[in-house]
Amino acid sequence: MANPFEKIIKNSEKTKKQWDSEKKDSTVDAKQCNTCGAPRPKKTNLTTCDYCGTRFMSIDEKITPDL
Amino acid sequence: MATKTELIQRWDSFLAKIEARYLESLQQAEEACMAQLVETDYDYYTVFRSWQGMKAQISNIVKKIDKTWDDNVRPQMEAISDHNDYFYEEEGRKVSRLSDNLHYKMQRFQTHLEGKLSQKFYDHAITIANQNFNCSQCGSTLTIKKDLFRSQYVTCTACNSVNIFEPETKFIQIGWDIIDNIIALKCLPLHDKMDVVLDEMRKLRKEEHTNEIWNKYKTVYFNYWKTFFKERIKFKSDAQERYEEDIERKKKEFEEYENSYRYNKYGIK
Repeated sequence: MANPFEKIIKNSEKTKKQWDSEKKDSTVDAKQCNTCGAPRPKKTNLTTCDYCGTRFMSIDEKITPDL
Repeated sequence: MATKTELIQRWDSFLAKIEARYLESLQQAEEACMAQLVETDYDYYTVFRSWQGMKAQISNIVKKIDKTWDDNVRPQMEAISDHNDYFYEEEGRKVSRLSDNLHYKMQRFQTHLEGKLSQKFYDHAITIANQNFNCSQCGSTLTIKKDLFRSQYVTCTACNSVNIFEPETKFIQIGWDIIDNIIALKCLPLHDKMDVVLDEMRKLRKEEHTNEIWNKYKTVYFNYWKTFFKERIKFKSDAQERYEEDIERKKKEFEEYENSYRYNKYGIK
């Protein structure tokens, strides 16, 4: 016997909103310094380039990675 | 004209059929939702919208009890009752008894359904973290955290560069209500204990409320919420940061409830 809710299932799929912000793939990237091209090394302040001192963010707080 | 016994039998048989149909519909809704989750490539929120439609349709079954009682059963029972036999009043109470019972079953079913759908979604979406992601500087394999459902800084163990992992939406969605639904199902026995005490309290008049019964409720209430939030931390490491805040919120909610239920709105007995 067919499921009595098939019509509801079809309707919900038909009326699904497409979100522009939906991301279909995961990505990996690294921030590189615009001045010297160095990536950010571990256990350093992520707001500033550890090699040449260029500031990436205009805040005074220190940010360190989760890992 | 039907006799009293015949009318009661017919009425009981109608109520039994309604209950059976209701429970069968819940079963069919679960099958449809579980199948749709896979068919839509784990689009949880589309399935959730389907469930809302199904729920509205299933809830309409309950409305039939009231309508049938008012339009058909009660008039027939009243017609055959004599002045001393108000048997239809007892029969009428079956309407609210069954409606309340079905409403309660719906609430429990929803917790089960959301928990099962969320677990299935979680098992699928968590595998995104197992995919091969490489360091953008040296190409070495990176290890993605499986308990952090937002962008993460991932340090390459080979070259020490800090990479930024930006997960796809499905992985981020785990951190929304998926985890809470899984935990709600897991903690359902504790929630039941809370409901039992709450029922005990509701049966008492305000004057009969003792400190003992309120302390009993307080114990099961905090036992539930502390377990819930601790379980959440096991799934989401960043939930640790808001644990104290969450408990404080629940404490405030409890006090507000006690003030409005036990005392008047100003908190004076």
